[in-house]
Amino acid sequence: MNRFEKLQTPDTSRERETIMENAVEDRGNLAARIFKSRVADLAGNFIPGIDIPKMAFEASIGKTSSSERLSKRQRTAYAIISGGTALAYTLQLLGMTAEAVTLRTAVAGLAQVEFGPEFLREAGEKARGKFPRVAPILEKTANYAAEKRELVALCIKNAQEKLRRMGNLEGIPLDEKLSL
Amino acid sequence: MTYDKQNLDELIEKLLKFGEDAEELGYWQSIFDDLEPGEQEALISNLRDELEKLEKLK
Repeated sequence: MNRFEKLQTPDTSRERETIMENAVEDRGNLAARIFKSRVADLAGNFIPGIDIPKMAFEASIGKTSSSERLSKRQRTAYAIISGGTALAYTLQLLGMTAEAVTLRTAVAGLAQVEFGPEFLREAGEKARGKFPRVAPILEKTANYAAEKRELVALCIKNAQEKLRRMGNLEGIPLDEKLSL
Repeated sequence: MTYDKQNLDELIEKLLKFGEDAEELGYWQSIFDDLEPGEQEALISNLRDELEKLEKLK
C-alpha cells in the first residue's frame, strides 16, 4: 500500500476495538448468568431458611470496589473467576450439617477457605458424579483461572471483604438465619 | 436443541484472525458442551454478531 492509498483507507482500529469490547462485556454478563444458574441448582441441597448459595454468589461475584478499575476484558475474566468461586464456595458449604450452618458459621467457613485455582479444581473433582452439571465447568474454570493469578487475588480480596461485612461488621445478627 | 460445536469453532477461528483473545475464547470453547442449549445459543449469537460487525468494517 503506498502513502496515498494509506491516506484513503479509513483507520477502523478504534471501531474494531469498540465492537470487541462490547462483545466481551456481553460474554461477561453471560458468564454471570451461567454461574448464577449453576449455584441456584445447588440450592435444593441446602437446609430451608438459609440461602447459602445466594450469599456465596453475592460474596464472590459482582462489582469490584471502586478503587479497582478493570477494563471490559478484565471484567469478563473476573466474572468467570468469581462465578467459579461462588460455585466452589457453595459446594464447600454443602458438606456442613443443618445444625452447623448459621450465618456466622457459613461466613466463617467461607472466609477461611484457601481459595485459588487449586481450590476450584478440588471442588470440581469432589463434585464429579454427584453434581455433573457443575463439576466440568468448575474444573475448566480452574484451568482458566490458573493463568490469571492477579484477578484471582482480587476476587479473593473482594469476596473476603464482603463476607466480613455480611457476617459481622455491618450489624447483621450473626445467628440469624437468612431467609430464602 | 444442541448447538453445533463445529459452528462455534469456525466462528472462533475467524474472530481470532481479527485479534480476539485466544485465552478467553478458548475457555468458552472448552465449556461449550457443558452449557444448556439456551446458553449455547446466547454464546453463538454473541460471537456471530461480533463477527458480522467486524466483517462489515473490512
